[in-house]
Amino acid sequence: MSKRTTRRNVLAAGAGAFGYATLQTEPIRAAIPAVAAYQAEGSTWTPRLLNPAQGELLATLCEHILPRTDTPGARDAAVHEFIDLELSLADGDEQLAALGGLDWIDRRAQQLHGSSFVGLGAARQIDMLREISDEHEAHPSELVAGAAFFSDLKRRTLFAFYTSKVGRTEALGLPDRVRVERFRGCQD
Amino acid sequence: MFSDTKTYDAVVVGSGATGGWAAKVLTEAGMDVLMLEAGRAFDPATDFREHTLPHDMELRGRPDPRNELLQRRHRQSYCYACTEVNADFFIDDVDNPYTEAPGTHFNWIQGNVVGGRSIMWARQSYRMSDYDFKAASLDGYGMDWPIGYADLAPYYDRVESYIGVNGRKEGLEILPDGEFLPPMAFTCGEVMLKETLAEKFNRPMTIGRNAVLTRRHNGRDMCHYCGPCHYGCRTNSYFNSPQTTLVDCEATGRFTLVPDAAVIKVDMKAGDLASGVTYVDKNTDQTREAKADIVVLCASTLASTRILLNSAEGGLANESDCLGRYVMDHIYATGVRGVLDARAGAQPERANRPNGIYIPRFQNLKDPATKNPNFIRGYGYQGGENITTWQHGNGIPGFGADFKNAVQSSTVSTIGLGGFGEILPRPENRVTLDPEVTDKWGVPVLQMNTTLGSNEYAMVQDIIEEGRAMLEALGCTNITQNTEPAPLGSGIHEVGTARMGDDPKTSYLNQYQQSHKVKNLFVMDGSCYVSIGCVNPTLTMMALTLRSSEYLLDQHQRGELA
Repeated sequence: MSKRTTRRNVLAAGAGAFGYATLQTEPIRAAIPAVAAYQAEGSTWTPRLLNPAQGELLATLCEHILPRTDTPGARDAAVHEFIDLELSLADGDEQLAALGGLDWIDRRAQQLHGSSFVGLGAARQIDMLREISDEHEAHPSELVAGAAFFSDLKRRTLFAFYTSKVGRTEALGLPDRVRVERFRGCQD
Repeated sequence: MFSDTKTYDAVVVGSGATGGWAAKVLTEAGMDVLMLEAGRAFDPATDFREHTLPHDMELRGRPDPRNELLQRRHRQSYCYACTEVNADFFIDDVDNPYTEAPGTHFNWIQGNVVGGRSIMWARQSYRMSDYDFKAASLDGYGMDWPIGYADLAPYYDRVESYIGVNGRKEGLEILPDGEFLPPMAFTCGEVMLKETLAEKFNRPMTIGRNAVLTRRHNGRDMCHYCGPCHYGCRTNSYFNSPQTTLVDCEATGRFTLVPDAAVIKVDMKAGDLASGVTYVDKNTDQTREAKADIVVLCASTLASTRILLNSAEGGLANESDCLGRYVMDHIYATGVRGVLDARAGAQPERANRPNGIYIPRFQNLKDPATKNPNFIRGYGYQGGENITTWQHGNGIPGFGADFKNAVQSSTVSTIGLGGFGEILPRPENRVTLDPEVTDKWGVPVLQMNTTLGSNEYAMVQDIIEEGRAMLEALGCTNITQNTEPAPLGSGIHEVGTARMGDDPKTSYLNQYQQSHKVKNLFVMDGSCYVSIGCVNPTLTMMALTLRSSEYLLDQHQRGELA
């Protein structure tokens, strides 16, 4: 008897072609969340680590780092939701550093302008961030903590934005799924 | 279906790169073969997830502390290829522990799936040369292999022709050419590096030779350049055993594969002959026996050695005291990276080439001018050009619209060179059975006791110095380096522990990977290595298995193995 053998039927669960098909283990992959697409839905977001005010402050800061231009910005990509999720799974020191940084921003806003950061106009917000940004090589001692937080937040925002579907497709112009390609190499 | 009352012609332990070859040769010659695999069965249609993108994962590929599969692979996740996408291709570290002698560290990365590590391997495929097989004769350290390049060359030819290896012929004695599919292309930064090496160092550089199809081959589709082969490949475009050799085995109708079957020991009968193996059925946790006229261990170097150590007090047929000794791997993780300003702004290709460049060993060759007085043997570099899409944003000051525009309108090119160096075969680098610790099924586990020696550390220093010199000559800036080699095992090229040789007093196996003492027992994986050279070992292991399997067949047909 000749039986057509394909890779597919050799390996397929329950194909019976192999002795092992009947011994196949239960589907372990049911436990893996790997390919469940993550879709941000801003309107229904409930922060995991932050309180709602901290969540809005975080979203405001991220949008200042990567604002909407002719391409979407951090808020469009729900960067703040990703950072909140990531922080909710981080160790206590990392969480404290982030919460302390958000608190530092609001205290600085109160000190300078008598308002929460979110309550300030965009121009004042940007001025405040400029003084703690890495465009300065060094910061005065009272700003060092704020600068360290903002530097960390910038790193988190870049990752969260450009690995998001929106960041990948609309900001970087890459396809949202893997496509068949040819590697061309150096054509110079 | 497996039968425990039947005596199979042969039992092959392990379904990876070498087990697949052994079973292919034996079943196609008419033998009835049982294959026992400790890992699970899988279905490529659902288990291969190579097109997973970061945004498909809730944490975008970062380790997820909620993922229990990953948490149970705290040692396996050292390997770049073990992520939440494919963690269940790797062994469960909680159920399958190993220990380390005080003050030593070892990374043992193991598969947990039909096909073993041939599913997740990095596919680099180079031939060893007589610089490797006859290294002891050249510099006086250790022992020569009992075979030379000419003995293995025809088998390299056949393995390459079957699995499909792409590459470029270079005519180098240190890196023999093979039967290649068309080579993959260099990037422009890599062309600049190659020209620099030729002009200023008189050193060759070639594109990586790897087991990925650059055109349709043996009924398998060519590569579509998605990138992460270690997540599997639904178009069968890289070599792994389940999509090639095991298919051929199954087609013979003389093949029985049992997954979730972890072999504990080789069983013996009168006359110093093996009678089969005892294994744990991981579905029922019950111990079962499988009978066979010939036992072929292809469980991977250390797993095969553990089986042999568990088979008899002091190790089965271990009169030579070689079993477990001479553990080798490659010097791994040390190297350099620099920014190639001449390529700033270069556009990365959307296609992900699953390959890099290769700089063959260039020291301690026959030309006296290549002699390095600080160490014997040598190393090669693997690496290539990487072009960032957004990661360079961390180096751009500021924030806001101008910052975002700067990130998205620029790219940074870096060139990386990682050294893969030969680790010498030292008897004190060994594995033994841990006297106290057992696995989930009560089987004693391995204790690793390995360190790097002075020759290796001298080589590491040279890897860094020569790497820097080459990047500086290319015009790289911001050169960074990693001078700390990873623990043994990290290269996932662990070999040795049952070395081959002509003299039973100083070797465990003969040149056909046959036990000197138990003539129907073969160990056809990396255990037989006498010295490791500096090239990736899987291609050589497969060529050795093919050669030894045909010898086994011949001996079996002559009635010499009973």
